[in-house]
Amino acid sequence: MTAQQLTYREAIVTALQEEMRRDPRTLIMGEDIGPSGGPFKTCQGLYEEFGAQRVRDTPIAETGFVGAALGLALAGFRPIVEIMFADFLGVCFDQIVNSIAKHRFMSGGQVAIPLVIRAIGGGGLRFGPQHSTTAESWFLSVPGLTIACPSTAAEAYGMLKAAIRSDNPVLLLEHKALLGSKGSVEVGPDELAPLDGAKIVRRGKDATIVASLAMVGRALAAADLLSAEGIEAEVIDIRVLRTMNLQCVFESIRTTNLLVTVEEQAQLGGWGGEVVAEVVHEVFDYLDAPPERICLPEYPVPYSPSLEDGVIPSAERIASAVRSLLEG
Amino acid sequence: MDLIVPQLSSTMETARVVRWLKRPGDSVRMGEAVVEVETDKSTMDVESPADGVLTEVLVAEGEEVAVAGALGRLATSEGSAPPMATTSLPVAATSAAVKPDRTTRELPAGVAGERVKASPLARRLAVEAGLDLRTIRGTGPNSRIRKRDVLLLKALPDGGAATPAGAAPSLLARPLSPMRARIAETVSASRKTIPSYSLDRWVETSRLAAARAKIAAKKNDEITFTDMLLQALADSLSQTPAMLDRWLDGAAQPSVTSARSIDIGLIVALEHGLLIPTLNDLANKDLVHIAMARHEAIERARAGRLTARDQAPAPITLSNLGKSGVDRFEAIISPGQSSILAVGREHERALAGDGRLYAARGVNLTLSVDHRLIDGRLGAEFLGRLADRIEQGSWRGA
Amino acid sequence: MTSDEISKSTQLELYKCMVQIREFEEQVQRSFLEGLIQGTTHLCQGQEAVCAGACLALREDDYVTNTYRGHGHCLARGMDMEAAFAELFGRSTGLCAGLGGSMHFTDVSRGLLGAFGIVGAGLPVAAGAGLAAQLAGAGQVSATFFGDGAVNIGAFHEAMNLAQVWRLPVLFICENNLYGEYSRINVTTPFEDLVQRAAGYAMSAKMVDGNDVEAVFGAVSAAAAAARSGGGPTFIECKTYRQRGHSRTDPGKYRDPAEVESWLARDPIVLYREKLKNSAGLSDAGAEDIAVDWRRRILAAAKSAAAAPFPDPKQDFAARLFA
Repeated sequence: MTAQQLTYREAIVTALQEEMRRDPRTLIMGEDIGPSGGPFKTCQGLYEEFGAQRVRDTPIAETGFVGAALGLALAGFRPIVEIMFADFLGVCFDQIVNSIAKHRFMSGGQVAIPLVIRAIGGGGLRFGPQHSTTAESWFLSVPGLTIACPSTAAEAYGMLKAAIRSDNPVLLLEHKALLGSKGSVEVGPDELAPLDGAKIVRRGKDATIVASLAMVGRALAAADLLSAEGIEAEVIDIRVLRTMNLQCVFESIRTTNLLVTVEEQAQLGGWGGEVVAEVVHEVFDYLDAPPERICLPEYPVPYSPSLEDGVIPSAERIASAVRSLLEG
Repeated sequence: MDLIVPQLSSTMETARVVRWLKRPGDSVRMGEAVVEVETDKSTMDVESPADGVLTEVLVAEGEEVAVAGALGRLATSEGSAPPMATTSLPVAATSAAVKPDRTTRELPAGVAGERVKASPLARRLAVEAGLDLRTIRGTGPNSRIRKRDVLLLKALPDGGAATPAGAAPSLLARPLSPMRARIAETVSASRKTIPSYSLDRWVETSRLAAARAKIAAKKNDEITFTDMLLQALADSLSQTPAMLDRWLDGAAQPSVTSARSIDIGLIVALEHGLLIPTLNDLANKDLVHIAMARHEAIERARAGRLTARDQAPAPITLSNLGKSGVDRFEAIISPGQSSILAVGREHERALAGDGRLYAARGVNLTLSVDHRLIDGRLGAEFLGRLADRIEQGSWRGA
Repeated sequence: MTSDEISKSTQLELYKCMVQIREFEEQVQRSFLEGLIQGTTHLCQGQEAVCAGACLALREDDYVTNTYRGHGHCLARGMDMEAAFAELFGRSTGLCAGLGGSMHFTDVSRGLLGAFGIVGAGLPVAAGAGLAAQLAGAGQVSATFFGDGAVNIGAFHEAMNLAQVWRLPVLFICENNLYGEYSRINVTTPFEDLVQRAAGYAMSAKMVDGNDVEAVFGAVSAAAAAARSGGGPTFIECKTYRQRGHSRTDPGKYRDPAEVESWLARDPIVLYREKLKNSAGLSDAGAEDIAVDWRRRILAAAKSAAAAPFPDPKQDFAARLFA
């Protein structure tokens, strides 16, 4: 295994290459992912290497090709689907929640569904209200799905490999604003990242900040701002929304006694509420103040650049919340 | 809910009821004085913790009651009340004269059956340290007790009753005296709630000094510079009645009230703080009267025996730092008042007039004004009037 | 394949299959009235010719997806009847451990990939299975059964398009019984001959009398052969009729009595018995024996299933959910 400096995008491509080489039963489908390499270039070179049978351009028909992925999985293949914008998950919502998530259960456990849906979402790139959701909150209440959110190139690489090797359906929510972010990635045949558990990405004793996807980077930036003021924040990447495993968050609260969650979605129905509920339940006697949630406002992400920047939580907003919890 | 005797000083154990200001059946507002009590240090008003009606008087005038004892009963719309501002230090609640309150629940209660607000962590830490939450002052939102408040108490040599023998207090912090705490609250409240501006005027005091010497020669009473300022202020206020307006807190909508008499507060510096007794009804009073009122108020303040009248509301306070080395300063408006006049030391100054330089003695007057009620032009008008009165007016000696 | 080319043994097989389905569904109805089956169920009496004709024309290794009105197809593929009853009765020995019920009969060992309760949802899945067959290169086909109501939903259109564009070996078998739930086809669809839908996808299509089991058998055999040799998908419309209501609680009063009468007169089993009496020498006694034999076996299966235990509420559900 070697450590390479890869962008998030390169990490995705690398993971796909490795897994498709490793298992001939894998194939990938999506809009413009063939010769074009994908609108976000997340499938660059796959078509040339694996051919049209295994790297398929689909018509614009999410219900069709996501349902087809289920059929492929039931018939012994290991399909990967790329959804161009996470917002489009709304189109194939039925196939995901009513068929893919439930089929194994309804069959009494007869079938395995080894499929991966990679959806590229998130705001900050001026794509407007219908092309900017992370979709983190959309499938939270659906048992049977694994929902993973890679926040770095290393996570994108490891989680995608793990998802492809999983015998269960995995929804991998990638973030378009992270595609160019570079990071150190341990590249190797079996460098899988666990599809379970949150992870402490910065240690601190004064407050706990839990974040996902692009908000992890902002939380880290907030921690730097706070550090200059003598406040050391602990930053935790929640990583996997379903099934949520918050052991390290509970441990953290036992030290810091203060919680801030940061999510790139509206408050109602967002995973932050679940984290707060779990923390209150597990480590109630360690809380020194009501947890603070930082979210998007209760309206769609607007187009105008200054408005979009205004709704997405900033490092200063996160730092400010921590300060309020400490001083309030 | 009960109206209880607050802990007004750390040494206080009992209080004697001096005078009931309200009778059963009277309605009371939150913060309104209900009964005058005398403690080991002073005579103080006990204020109502909530809006409601005084339903019962439990302790008659002249009788004694222990700290935290019930003086009377109030009927309020809700059962809870905010913690009283004067209860600032850890208090060991004495139960000697407390009437059993059927509404008190098992949970730790603050004033009169109210639930103590504390974070789950603070509760646990308090339990572990053997501390009573009621004895801890909370600094969180809504006076919620937080971890830091418990730790602070734990660190005190006499406050942490359950700390292991030999454990040394780990913090350098010491709690504030009640007076200090009250001053801190007051000046903070003023800064937070009163948008003020200040106006400067230097006044020549040569005529005033001459008049004062003349009056003093006739009488044995000592007439001070402050007395003369008070008379000048009273006259100027009479002529500028808008300066008598005061912002009224606690009303349903922004409101103003105005006194019918000319009352002026006077800052009295004490060893470890200050008090601001009100000198009442100074309109048209002569300097001898003013001097006597001033002198007696200062005596009471220094003895810690302020009466209810001493604490009557006033629109303005005079702060005279003339005896210090300060040329000029801006004072902080007392909450409930709308202006304050700060007076610096008397000194000689180079002036110009009629095209020539000359020297004159005078003082800096700095008037700070509540802009919510009094605009700049009016404030300036008043200050100008006051300056004229000091520089050119005549003085009523006796 | 013409009826001459269908062997006598196949003909008997087709007949027996239809009778099995009929007797099974009748028993299901009785079990309902006895309170052994709860919720709802969707019976296919009157549509047996499609189930038998299509499924018997397929290979054992072909894939089948169907809908909530799926007992018939599953029986025709050899589904175990005791396991089926146990599933209907919600027992732990059920085909799907009591977790799916009537609408979701799944038996991957017999290529029954799943029965879907969302109208049209199975079609994209069938396309995917067809793609799997194409990639595997073993000549399998993916047959999917759906009703006339499904031809208006998005999933149908996307699956049809995908199958045609990728030339997948999919048989889209439409059981047109003229009613989508309680709505007659003329109020929901611009035309009654649904093969016209296939034209929109440039897909081969065939329209057959769905109550003529040999016609169905022939059409499906031909389409399957075409698909196996790379000829792409076929849409097969089978005109048929359900004898009962949409579901258990539906008395079907929204249907014109004259229409019902005319279709009842064309009971596919009665029709085929008549034909076989003449061409294959099936006597009345022989036909009766077949029916009696099925009833006996069905009753025994139902009885055993009724004695099976209910599922353990403390079982490891996570294992049912995740592989």
